[in-house]
Amino acid sequence: MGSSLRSFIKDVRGAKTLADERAIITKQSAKIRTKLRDDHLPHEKRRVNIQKLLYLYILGEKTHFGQVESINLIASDDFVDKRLGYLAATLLLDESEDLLTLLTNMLNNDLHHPNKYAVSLALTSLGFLSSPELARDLYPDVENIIKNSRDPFLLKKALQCAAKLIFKDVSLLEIFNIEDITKILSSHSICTHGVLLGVTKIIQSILLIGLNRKKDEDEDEDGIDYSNDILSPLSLLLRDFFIRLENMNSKNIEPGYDVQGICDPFLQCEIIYTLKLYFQVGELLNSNNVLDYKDNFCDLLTRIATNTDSTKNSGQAILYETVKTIFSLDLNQPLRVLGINILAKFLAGKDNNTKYVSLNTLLKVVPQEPTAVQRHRKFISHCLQDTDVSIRMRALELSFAILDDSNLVELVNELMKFLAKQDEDSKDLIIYTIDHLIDTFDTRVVKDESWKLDVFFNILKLVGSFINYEKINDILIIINNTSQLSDKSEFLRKMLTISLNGTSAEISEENIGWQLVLIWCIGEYGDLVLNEGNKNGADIINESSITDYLLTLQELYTATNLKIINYILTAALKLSVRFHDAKNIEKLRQLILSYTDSTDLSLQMKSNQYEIFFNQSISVKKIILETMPKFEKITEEQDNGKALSKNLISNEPVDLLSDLLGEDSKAESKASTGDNVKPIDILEEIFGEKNDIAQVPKNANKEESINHSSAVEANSGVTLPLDANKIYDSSSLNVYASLLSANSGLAHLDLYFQAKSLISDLKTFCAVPKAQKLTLGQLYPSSTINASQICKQSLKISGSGKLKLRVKLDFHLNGSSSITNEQFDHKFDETL
Amino acid sequence: MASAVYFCDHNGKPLLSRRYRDDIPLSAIDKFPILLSDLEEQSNLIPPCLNHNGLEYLFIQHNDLYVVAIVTSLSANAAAIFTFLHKLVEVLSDYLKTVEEESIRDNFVIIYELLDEVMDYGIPQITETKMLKQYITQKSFKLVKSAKKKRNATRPPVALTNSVSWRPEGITHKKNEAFLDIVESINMLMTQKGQVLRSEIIGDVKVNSKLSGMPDLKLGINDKGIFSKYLDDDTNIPSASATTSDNNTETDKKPSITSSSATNKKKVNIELEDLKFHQCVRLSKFENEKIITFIPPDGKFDLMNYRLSTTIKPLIWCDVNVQVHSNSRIEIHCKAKAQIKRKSTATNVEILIPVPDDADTPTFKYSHGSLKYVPEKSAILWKIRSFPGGKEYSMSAELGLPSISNNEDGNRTMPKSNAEILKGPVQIKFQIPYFTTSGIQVRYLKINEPKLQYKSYPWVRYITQSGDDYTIRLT
Repeated sequence: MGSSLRSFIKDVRGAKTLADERAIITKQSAKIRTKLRDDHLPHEKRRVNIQKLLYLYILGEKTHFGQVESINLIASDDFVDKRLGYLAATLLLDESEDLLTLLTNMLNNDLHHPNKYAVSLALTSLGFLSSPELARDLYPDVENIIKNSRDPFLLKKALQCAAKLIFKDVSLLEIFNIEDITKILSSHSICTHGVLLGVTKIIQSILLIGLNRKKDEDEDEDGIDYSNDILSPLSLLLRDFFIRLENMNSKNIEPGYDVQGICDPFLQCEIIYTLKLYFQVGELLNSNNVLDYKDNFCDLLTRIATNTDSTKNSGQAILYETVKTIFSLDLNQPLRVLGINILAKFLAGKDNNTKYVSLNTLLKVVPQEPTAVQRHRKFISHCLQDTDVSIRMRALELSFAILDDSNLVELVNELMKFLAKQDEDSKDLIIYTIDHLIDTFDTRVVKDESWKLDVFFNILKLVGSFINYEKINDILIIINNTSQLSDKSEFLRKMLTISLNGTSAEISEENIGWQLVLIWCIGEYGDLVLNEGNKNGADIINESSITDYLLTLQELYTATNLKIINYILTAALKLSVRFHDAKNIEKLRQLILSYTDSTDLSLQMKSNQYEIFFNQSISVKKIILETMPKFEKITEEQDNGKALSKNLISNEPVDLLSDLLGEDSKAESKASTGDNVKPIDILEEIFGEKNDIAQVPKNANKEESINHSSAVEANSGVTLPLDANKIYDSSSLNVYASLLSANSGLAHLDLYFQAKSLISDLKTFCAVPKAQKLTLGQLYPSSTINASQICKQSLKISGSGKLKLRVKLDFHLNGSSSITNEQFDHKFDETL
Repeated sequence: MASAVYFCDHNGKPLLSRRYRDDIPLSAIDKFPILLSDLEEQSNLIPPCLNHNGLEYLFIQHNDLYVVAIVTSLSANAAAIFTFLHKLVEVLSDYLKTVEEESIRDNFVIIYELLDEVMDYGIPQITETKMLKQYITQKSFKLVKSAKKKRNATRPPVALTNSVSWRPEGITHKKNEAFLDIVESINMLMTQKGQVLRSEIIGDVKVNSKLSGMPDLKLGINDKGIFSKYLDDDTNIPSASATTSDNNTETDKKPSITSSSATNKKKVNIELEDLKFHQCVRLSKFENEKIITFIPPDGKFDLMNYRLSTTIKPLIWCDVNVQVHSNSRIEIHCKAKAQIKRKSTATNVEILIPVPDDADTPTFKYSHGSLKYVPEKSAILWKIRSFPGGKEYSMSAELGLPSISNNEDGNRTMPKSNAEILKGPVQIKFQIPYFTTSGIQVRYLKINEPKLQYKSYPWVRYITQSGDDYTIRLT
């Protein structure tokens, strides 16, 4: 191991393992400690050891033992030692009192050193290391330099040092004299750009102190009246800053400070920032001395924004500082629009850094000026095509930020083009876009629902393999809540047209999103697309092709994705009431049966349950497997509109419950909610009366064989008794009830159905409270009723409690193939 | 039962894998690092079984590796899989010496060969290292020497299905020898004043068998296997003995003076705790007759392990005195004493005394051995190559301390106490040949080969050494 810094670094870098590196460092550290104790060590060797110590500091090792030695180097008369000593002190020392006391005397001596470079070393270190006590002790020396020195180099250093000292110890504001600054500014020979930088720094410190104070603490413990004693004298410099800034921003040529044709962009940015702090403090303290210049400031910012060259990087720095100032202060609206236009100009440039900064800033200012940002949508969309992934992500965020009802269609279409060009490498961008698109359609009311489904169709087609299951559920909810059946069937038709085309490889098997949505829609809306398919003559979509497609998917995903198998089983069960071909229905049944002994427990359970459902009669299954109703997703961030809508929906079960049961019977009823009463009771009655219901089709078949005259003759036999009361009236029929007897525990009554137009295949379902039992009789003379004719049905109710009915009617109206549903409740006066 | 086995680095990324069944997706292992990081955020304790998407991830950790098995069903035997994974690591240790990420990368060829043999269609197969070495002879970087290629190297040996699965037939050695080493490691914790807080003896009987055919060995220890210890310190400890025997001839008895002396002394039975045998030992015979009989596997193996928790006096004792002059210097005085019989000698004694991290300028005074400051361990190391019994050596050291303390609490006015400066205990390492602390002796070692009837030579050796934890606590 050598003794030079270079060999030390080489050894550390060349260590093979972490343990080796640690051993090298600890050995070298011990050697440094031993060497530094040697009082006879030559200065060159001592400096080398301090340099090694600084390397240990860079590595993050302990260096506390070298603090005293660095102070000893500062005490040396050799400038090389001084420089290294100050560097080491700046890095190694902290604000501990013991060592800073030692350092105070040395700093004090060096602040009076005849060599100005030694003085500058002391000033820089003082700025870095000062504690409030040190700041208070040495501030007079720094102030003395500011007052008396004519050297721009020293003035710059002293001003920056004073800025840090004042920030450390606020009480120094009492003795700070603004006259010194005024005198410096009025002297052209010493007021160089470097000195101006120092002046802006010290004023920034003072203004930041004011900004950090609360408004109601104008009289601080320090006894400083900030508004009158500090801010008022400072405001006298505002005009001077305006003039200097404007002079630099105009086309003056100063070769010494020219950067790409722009005069000292660093100083321009510092002055703009200082002026921003002026007006922020002025607003906070409501100081007229400052706010009187606000219009001048707006004009100045306008001129800077107009005159500065935006094609150069240095000009962009100034423009960016201007934009930040515009949006930090509450300036007028034309200036804000101008700021946004500047940022949009950045977007059109080629530099990725500038574009990134611009997108970030636009994202922040959207709440202030949404309209102006939207006007530059083309530039934002252009950034979506950028090769840099971080710029694309920022452009995506900004696109969603500016989205509102007026530009929804254009922006979403733009995003669809964006999605079409992405691949696996942009997975994060794709997922972000999908999530936000789904959230957009969740929260906004879109009138054109057909277009909305088109958007989701394209999303699933392009990037369906990147959507996770939770978002797929959100998409299904959106499809489910679409109000137009034709939109849903068209959506499913387009999906099926692509998937059933065997020659097409358009959708890969890894596109799980597409497959899940397709399977679910087949189960829900398969009958819609089949009915329409017959009209349009689309041969590819039929019961057989759909069944075969489900079987193909089942074979494909058996080993890899059990979740899809669950969806396939559910779709197969739902299709069993939407299909008419017995052969395909049997295929679906076999599909469900094949999982009754599955090794996956949840799949096995589901399959066995579905088998039980499958074996029910067609009328029972139609009720159970109806299309899903509108689903209201519950979220914590519901707004008032949604809450109101939810209240309206939630009121309905309450009304049904009170209407059916009444207050007197609450104790008797075991139902917890109105929703539970209906399905439980209907199911009980349906299963209990299975034989009776099965006979209804037979009667219907008999009636079909009778000619018209026989039907008329038979119907004329039923007449409405005089004591019958009308309990229901609709455009299709009237319903009357006649209570024959109501003894304790038993009641007999008749229902009379009078058709207003031709009614065929009438089916009645009645529900009573849970404590009662209902026996339904046959429809007499038949389930087909001509206009103005009457059909009769007898009911027997046993049990106890109030006599109440809920009646549901299914029938075909005027010979149409669609089923009409009607439902009503009735409460009798009698009690069993 | 296991669908796949993966070796993953410390972040959970796969290094090497072997799929035995096709019932899990190829991307299943990609979820493992995600699951790990999620669990690490929740708590420090990570369960060894992770469930995700119907798959079970069963894993163990070894050095910087995760060894993961993925199974599809909850009916899989998790305990059997964990046993297999541990055994797999053991097999790889025998082949690679050190199982870590680097050695896995360097020896992937031989690892794939081993994975082929240890498991088939997810069912464990051969896990005995000595059997695997019969025909997995791919040269590995860590192996000391490559195994000699056998005539039928490509076929698994018939011994796998024999009742003696640890030893193949047909082994021949030119010279038939059996070496028996009894190694006892002493773990002890002492206070600075000499009080013994905790002590234990961990014994290990190692055998290196170079015998031909199918030999049957019988080992006798201390009066027909009754593990007893003479309390009298004057008992002679036998030195390394070489006993020759003709065919089926018993080893000669010890001189009669020893026997007559033993019968006059009081015997005390000491229960050996955690007594464990190699699978070749006939346990039923040991339980009934207290005789250790076995057919040894060829080469080196551990015949027996035992542990005693008895209070014993320190064999090497150090009296350490530390004086700290805060922010100036630290003085250390140490006297080392070998509290063993004069006829015994401790060798390779190392005494490690901790010093502060930021010590400097060491100066030493010592009478024997060598002293040096080891900054990478924050300690000074005293090495004494030969330490005769009954001797006492001393040394003193002085090191400088910086005037500024590295006190991260920020409290600078209070000087550090001695306890804060000296962070660790004094650690001692030593070896004492020809000596067992517990008093166990080997009476005889009979070697019987019914077919070959060759002449064999048993060798016995004793050694006592420091264990992993022989320390003197300071303050």
